Amino acid sequence: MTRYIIRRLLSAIPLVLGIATIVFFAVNLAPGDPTLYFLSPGMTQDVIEQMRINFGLDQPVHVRYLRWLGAMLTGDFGHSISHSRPVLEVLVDFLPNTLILSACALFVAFLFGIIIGTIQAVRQYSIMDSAMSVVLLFFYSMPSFWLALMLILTLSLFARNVWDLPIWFPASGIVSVDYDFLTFGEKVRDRVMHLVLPTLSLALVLTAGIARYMRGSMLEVIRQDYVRTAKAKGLSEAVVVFKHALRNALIPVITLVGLYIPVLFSGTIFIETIFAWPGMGRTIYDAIFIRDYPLVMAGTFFFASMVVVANLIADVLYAVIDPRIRYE
Amino acid sequence: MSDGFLVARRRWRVVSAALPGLPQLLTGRWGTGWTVLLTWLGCLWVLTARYERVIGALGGAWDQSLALVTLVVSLIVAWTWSWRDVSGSDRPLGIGVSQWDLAARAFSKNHTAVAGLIVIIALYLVALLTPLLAPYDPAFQGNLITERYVGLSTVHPLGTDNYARDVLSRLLYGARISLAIGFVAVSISVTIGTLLGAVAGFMGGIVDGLIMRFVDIVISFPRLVLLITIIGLFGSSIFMIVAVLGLTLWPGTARIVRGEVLSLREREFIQAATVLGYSKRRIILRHLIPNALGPVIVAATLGIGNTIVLEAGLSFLGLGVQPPTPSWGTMVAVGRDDLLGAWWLSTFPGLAIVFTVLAFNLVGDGLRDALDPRLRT
Amino acid sequence: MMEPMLRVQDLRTYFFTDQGVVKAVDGVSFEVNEGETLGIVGESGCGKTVTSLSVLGLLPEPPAQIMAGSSVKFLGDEIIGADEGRMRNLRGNKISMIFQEPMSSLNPVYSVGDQIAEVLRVHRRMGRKEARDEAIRLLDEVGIPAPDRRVAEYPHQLSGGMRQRVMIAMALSCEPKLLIADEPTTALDVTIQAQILELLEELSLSHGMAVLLITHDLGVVAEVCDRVVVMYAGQVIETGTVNEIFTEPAHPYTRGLLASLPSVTNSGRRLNSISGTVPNPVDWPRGCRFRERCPEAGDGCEEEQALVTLESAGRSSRCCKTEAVNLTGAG
Repeated sequence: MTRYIIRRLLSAIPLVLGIATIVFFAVNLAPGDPTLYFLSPGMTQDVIEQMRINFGLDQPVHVRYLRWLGAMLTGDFGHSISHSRPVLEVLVDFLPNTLILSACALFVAFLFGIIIGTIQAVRQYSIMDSAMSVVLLFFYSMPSFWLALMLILTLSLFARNVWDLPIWFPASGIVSVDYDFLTFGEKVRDRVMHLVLPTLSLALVLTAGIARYMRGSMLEVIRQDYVRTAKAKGLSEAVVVFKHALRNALIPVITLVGLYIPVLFSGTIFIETIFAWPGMGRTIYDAIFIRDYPLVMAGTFFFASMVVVANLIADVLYAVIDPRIRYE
Repeated sequence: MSDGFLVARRRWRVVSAALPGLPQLLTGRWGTGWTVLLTWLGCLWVLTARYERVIGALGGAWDQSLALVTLVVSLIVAWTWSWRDVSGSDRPLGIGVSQWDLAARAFSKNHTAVAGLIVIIALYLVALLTPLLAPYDPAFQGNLITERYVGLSTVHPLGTDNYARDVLSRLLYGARISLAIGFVAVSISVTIGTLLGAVAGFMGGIVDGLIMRFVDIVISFPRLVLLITIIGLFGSSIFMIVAVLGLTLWPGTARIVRGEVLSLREREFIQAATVLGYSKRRIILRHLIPNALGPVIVAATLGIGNTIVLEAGLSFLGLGVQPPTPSWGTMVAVGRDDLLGAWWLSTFPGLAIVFTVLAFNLVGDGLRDALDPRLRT
Repeated sequence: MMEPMLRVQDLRTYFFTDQGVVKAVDGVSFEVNEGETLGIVGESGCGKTVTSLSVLGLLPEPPAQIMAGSSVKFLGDEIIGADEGRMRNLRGNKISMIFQEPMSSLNPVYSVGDQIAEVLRVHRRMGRKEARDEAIRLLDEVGIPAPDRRVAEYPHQLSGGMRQRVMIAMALSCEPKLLIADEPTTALDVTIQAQILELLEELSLSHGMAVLLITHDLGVVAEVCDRVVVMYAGQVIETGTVNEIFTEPAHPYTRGLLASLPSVTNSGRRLNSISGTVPNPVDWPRGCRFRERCPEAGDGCEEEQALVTLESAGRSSRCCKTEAVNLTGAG
């Protein structure tokens, strides 16, 4: 098993290097450069030239590439132009917010996706199965940014202003303005309430995808001989489904962890922008427009690397669940 | 052939001539029936209700001419289709039935998928006919003081936006952008993906290794992050969007095709082709790709839905189609400004996206079931 | 006469599919007495497996449905329509079952020890440790070497024969009254087949356990069975002791099966085969279901055939020509 994991780790190294290369060239071959951000009327050409030299932009592209790669290996991600401080500090500030949001969404999506898909498969051909399929496909076809707006419209704005519901969810930020004056219990509640809508916006689309996949996988598994064996042993339906079938049905679903994390990160760009959530997605998005190259490169690189890490986690999960891989 | 049969056929022909699609509907083939009937009635409605515009379109702008051609062609196709269908070739069932015929038959039994296909055909027709259909010019601004943010009414069925423009008209024009971009981008990516996947699978060795490592890298990027990075830095134009969407979707197709080719390569007929001394090019293009096409078609159909969502996302962020060209994504973004006061602004374009993508997903699912021989009983 | 342990009467199991109603089992009756080994023989598609799965209520409903009027009595109690709790208490406990495919009948993600121990823990309420020790003892009993090591292994680490032994150990764990073995040796190598059959015979003797052996292989029947039920097209067409069936087959189908057996005495001659295949279960032929393939078909075969009891008890045939043929056969 350790050998299996080490092999996976080694195979990830060229992948990460390749990602770094693409990030660098995508950013550096684009027209325009960071000096545009500081450009103001009345600046002389000399000043601009000097600025380019300060940023190291006077060097040819391959020299910059090697320098950047070398610096990255030592953990130096450069200096953010728009935030006027090291990129690493910016990442440390914003990344946790994104990770909390993504983790919540991923958890919710897999929990509900697996449960719904399993129930559907076990009750195949029932009215509930077909009804759920339609609802799931509807959510599956939904752009997350629109879902976010609709959730805000209904669960926040209409709930509060039109329908006068007792509960409505805040639609912006991670905490309320009066957060500092709350007791500990209220603080926890405040944070959770702020998490609900962004998490749902991200999770619902994924839930639908996971449930659809889970249903198919489960249908395949409950036709297997060993499920019949389990029934013939006199086990209850719950044990047959949730012990014998579920674990086998989960094996292909694990692939979705690696597949959906890029989708999730893509989604954070919308969701963080819409909900004013101070995270990486929004930070990268802003950085692109002010051509904050070091931040864009580091952020994009980080996102892509997280995907590689997610795939590694998926590989390890495979081995945990499936002994055939463990004893390879 | 019996007389009774000929009489029945003549009677169906009369029905078909009056109302194409009705014979098929009455004989239980509702997929073909609804498609033909709706096309026929819809186009007739446009012809009569938008009579002046149809006349005006003669010698109008290119999109008006296109709409006119579409209108005429649709009417002719719908009518002749039904006529020839009723007159019917009497090809006996079971002879010369290819895999594709079997798949088509399986597909037509899947009611939700057929419904999705009807919606897609209707969407493309609407997109092409928009200049004749839309109640207003999409860029036409009403009185900015009295007609801004007007709610749903008979004059503006879906209300007006912040510039007092008609939402329904913009929605109809927006369909053109979404459907066109989805179609073109996916065509690009499917072509690239199929070729690279087939080459990788067939050649193996270093070529395979290189191509698939590159696929791994591209797949690792959150696609939207890659898209906004490139478009944000290089600038946005329709050409750019189509190119970038097309150039980032192919790795998935390449993986699928490679997998198919790897399993096909071991099959006897490919080995026979190799033994016969066919060139690699010929084997890949004539023997491998056609047999690996099923999963590709499924991936492409689902990919169009996916691409429409992405394009809408880019437009939502202001990186996609630039105003004043109407696009569903931008329209949703406009609605953000006054969500509570003018809820219809974001809601309807969003629903348009959802139903379009839903239709593509239904058809994609249906195709997958129909093309998967393992599921065929 | 003693009440048989298992009495199946007029069992009808139909599948409701898009293509029509598949009458897989269409009025099957037979009995299994205490301690005996009964073989059910027939070509694939004749309803053997569906019969065995119906007894334990293991068929998915829908599409399967056991029709009204069917009866399965185990130790005198009706078990068709029994509630899930009672069925669970029977399965794996009083009646256990092993299947055709040892490769896929064990759950790949749990160790074989866990899978055996699970039965013990459910039906015998054993503790973790106790169940594991018992699992090791059972593995030993079914002839698996180094059982204390094997107990922690996963199915993919074992050969087909070993896996079938594990299945048998699992089936044996609660000392069942009846073991249903559905083609237990079909998927195995010939040498392993003999070992497994020997093991089954041995265990049924030492545990006093009745065995319902389902197979398409008459050789297997000759080796281990006491009595035989021959099935064709969802019906029982002949019953009798092994001796009777092999020496004086009453039904043309049984004769056909026997003639298609290779043997040393007729080596060198062409093997006989029954022409055609089992008819479509959605639309069984009217009259005798074997008529279209029967070399002796003639008058009276268009009639629905009844299962006629012959000279000795437990001896019956579903062929209107049985007696006539028997006479000529005797003469």
